[in-house]
Amino acid sequence: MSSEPNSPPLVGAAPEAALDGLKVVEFGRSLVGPVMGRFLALNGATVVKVESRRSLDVSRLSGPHGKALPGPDTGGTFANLNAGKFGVTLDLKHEEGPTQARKLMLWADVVVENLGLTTLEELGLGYEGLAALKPGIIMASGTAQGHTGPHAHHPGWAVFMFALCGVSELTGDPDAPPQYPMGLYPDLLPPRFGTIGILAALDYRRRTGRGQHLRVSQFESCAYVMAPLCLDYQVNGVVARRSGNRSSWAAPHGVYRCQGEDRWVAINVTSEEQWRSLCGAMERSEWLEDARFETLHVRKQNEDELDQRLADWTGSRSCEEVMRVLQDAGVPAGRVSDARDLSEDPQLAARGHSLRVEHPAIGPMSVESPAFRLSRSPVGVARPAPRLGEHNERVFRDFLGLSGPEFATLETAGVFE
Amino acid sequence: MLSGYRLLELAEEPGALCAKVFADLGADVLKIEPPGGSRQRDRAPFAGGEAGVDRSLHFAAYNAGKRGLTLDLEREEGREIFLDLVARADFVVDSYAPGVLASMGLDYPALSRVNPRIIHASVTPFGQQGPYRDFASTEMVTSALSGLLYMVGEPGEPPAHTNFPMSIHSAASLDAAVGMLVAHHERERSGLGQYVDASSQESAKWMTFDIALRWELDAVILRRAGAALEYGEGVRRRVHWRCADGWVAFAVFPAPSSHKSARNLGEWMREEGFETGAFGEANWEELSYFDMSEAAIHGLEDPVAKFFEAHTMEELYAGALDRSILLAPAMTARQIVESPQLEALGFWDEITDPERGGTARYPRFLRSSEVEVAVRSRSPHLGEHNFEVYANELGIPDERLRMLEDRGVV
Repeated sequence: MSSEPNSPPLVGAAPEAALDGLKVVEFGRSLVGPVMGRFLALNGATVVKVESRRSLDVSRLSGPHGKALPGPDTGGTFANLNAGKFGVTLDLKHEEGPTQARKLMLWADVVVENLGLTTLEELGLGYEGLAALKPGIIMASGTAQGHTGPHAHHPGWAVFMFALCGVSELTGDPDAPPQYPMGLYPDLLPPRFGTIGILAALDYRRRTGRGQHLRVSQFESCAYVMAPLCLDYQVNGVVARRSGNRSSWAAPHGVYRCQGEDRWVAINVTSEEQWRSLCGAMERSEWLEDARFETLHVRKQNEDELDQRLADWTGSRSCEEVMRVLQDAGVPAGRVSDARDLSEDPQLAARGHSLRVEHPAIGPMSVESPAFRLSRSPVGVARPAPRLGEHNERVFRDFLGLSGPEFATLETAGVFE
Repeated sequence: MLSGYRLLELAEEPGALCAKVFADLGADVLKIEPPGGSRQRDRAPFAGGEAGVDRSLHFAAYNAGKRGLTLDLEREEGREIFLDLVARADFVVDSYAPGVLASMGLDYPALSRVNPRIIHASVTPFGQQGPYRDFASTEMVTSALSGLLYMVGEPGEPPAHTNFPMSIHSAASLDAAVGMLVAHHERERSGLGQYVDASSQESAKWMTFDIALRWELDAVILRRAGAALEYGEGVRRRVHWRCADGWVAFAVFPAPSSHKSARNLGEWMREEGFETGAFGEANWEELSYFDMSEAAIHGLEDPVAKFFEAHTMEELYAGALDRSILLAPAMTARQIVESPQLEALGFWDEITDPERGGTARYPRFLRSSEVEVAVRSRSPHLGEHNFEVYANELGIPDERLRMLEDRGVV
């Protein structure tokens, strides 16, 4: 990684972290921008998040607050999404604000932002202007539906984006309303695509010296993974619909009630071998002689009866027991885990899924690791999410080299608000 | 952006999207299938509805832009050829069950001996270690164990699956790609590759980080709420509403833009002569979201429901765009393909594939001011690039190649 001549020693990142030395400035709000910053920070990059007291990252205003008093520095959502980052406040509406922001952006290798379609450009901080001063700069921008086009101005909350991207329509039983989906695909797919773009662009810069402006959007990211269904419509004229818990190529295939309140297990039998194993594990080998269940074809025809029989068996057992007995026989089966189950899940624990960090207001808290483990490079949370303006002095003096009096003058003038 | 790099893919569904992303970024991706073909070729939907080795649209979607090889890794000769390829590659991605590649002598340590710079990622349901590592799994089972499934469906009814392809694997595939490129960044410094162990369970579980937070900090277990979204014990906001020809998503949340959106909708309803009732009179800033009676909720919702039922998805979305109302239609694949917004963005590449109905549109995931990130070619036929790679690039003599073909190695 190229270093600026005056670049200060990097602080906080584990010395051998993969992105050690990479400098990132994040103008992130809510999820798409901050999650790009989060991926980079947990892998060792120095990430400086820029907010202002006039324009906070909105996730500072959401909870949960646990035992902490509600306030911009105590919310769990912000603490999770911004763990490992430095934080500064800079009033971009102040006449000196954009100048200091530009300095910070030129210090960085990568600028991440999702402030809106034209916010940075209107401040004179758009990609073109930066690239004229530093051709290697990489900027990654996130939007709801792209920067241009007839719908670009419509806001992109996940609640609505699920519907727009086709996820809602595919969720639930065909005879019921589309169910509200879970898994924040519209918020969490685009930053993954964006991070992939940033890392590829860093390689491109190494080879060519050239930077670039990358753009991801919620709509495009989700529509991208719908490609097979888009092809089905174009080639066959078929419009995929939600199909509930059953499958055209597997039976039994469903979610079955277990002992306890709201306890369930998912069981999917995807081959004849698994069907035999299932009957064996359930001690129901007589089902193998039953003509109604002989092949997938007839099991599909008698699926109501089959599902009832499975439910009778699972209903008197714990979901953990069902999972264990069936998995021991090689049958795909999984407990339907709720939030408490996940916090105690032995597999997630064995992988070290939760990184721990001590947050000054919240106390010890979990920050999920990226879902990959690298065999040599560690991931880690170098510091808890920043309090509003926590690193103003550190960043502007130590990273950018402002003198004490210069910093004090700007501070008094209200630039760091 | 990644032209000049080569990735070898030994992946079924979970890793195929990971390699696809590299192909779109310009890397040379060699998809290595067993001589009988990838199981993805058997995945519906099929062109014309009929299965066939080159008919799967699922395969086409996630493998466009790659070159295709066949190679039998169960045989010594196949493994030797693979290691020759590894010596000339930068990345490998696989989705074998944990331990399978090791049993064939092709795990990361073995690849690394041939090429210390190689970065090797495995995408599996639960990762390479831990008590679930050998679990048999499907998308639904992984969804169950990652907390997604519990959160979807009617209260009291069985949890409901979200049925789009790669609903679980897409996130894991992308996380693996992030991991490989993080490792690549480090490789430029150290000269060494490393192993990337990706877990679909973890990728999916992170998709519900908000639910984990509520449990960790507030000891609240959020539950599924049907077509609504649950905030806390019994606090729900209806999200999906029936309209004349389908469904739309609309809700009011405690946020200024949402309050404005609600007022704009009320105004629109009045303009069209609809009753607005309690919805029209609501003082959204003062409204408590945590202690409303069922009757009060109905009072707010019923006028909106009537208005939506009298309009089509298209009318409602057009009005929402005009009037800054936070509403979106529950679109289908047809509406995605025909979206004027995606059209305006230049989202689609036209790719011709005679076996799969001719020319169709394939999507892009990223736009760059510098490089086109695009789909460059249709998905490969089984073994389509065997000769090109084995003879021309590896220099295997014709005679030996024919022998390998006869013996079913390639």
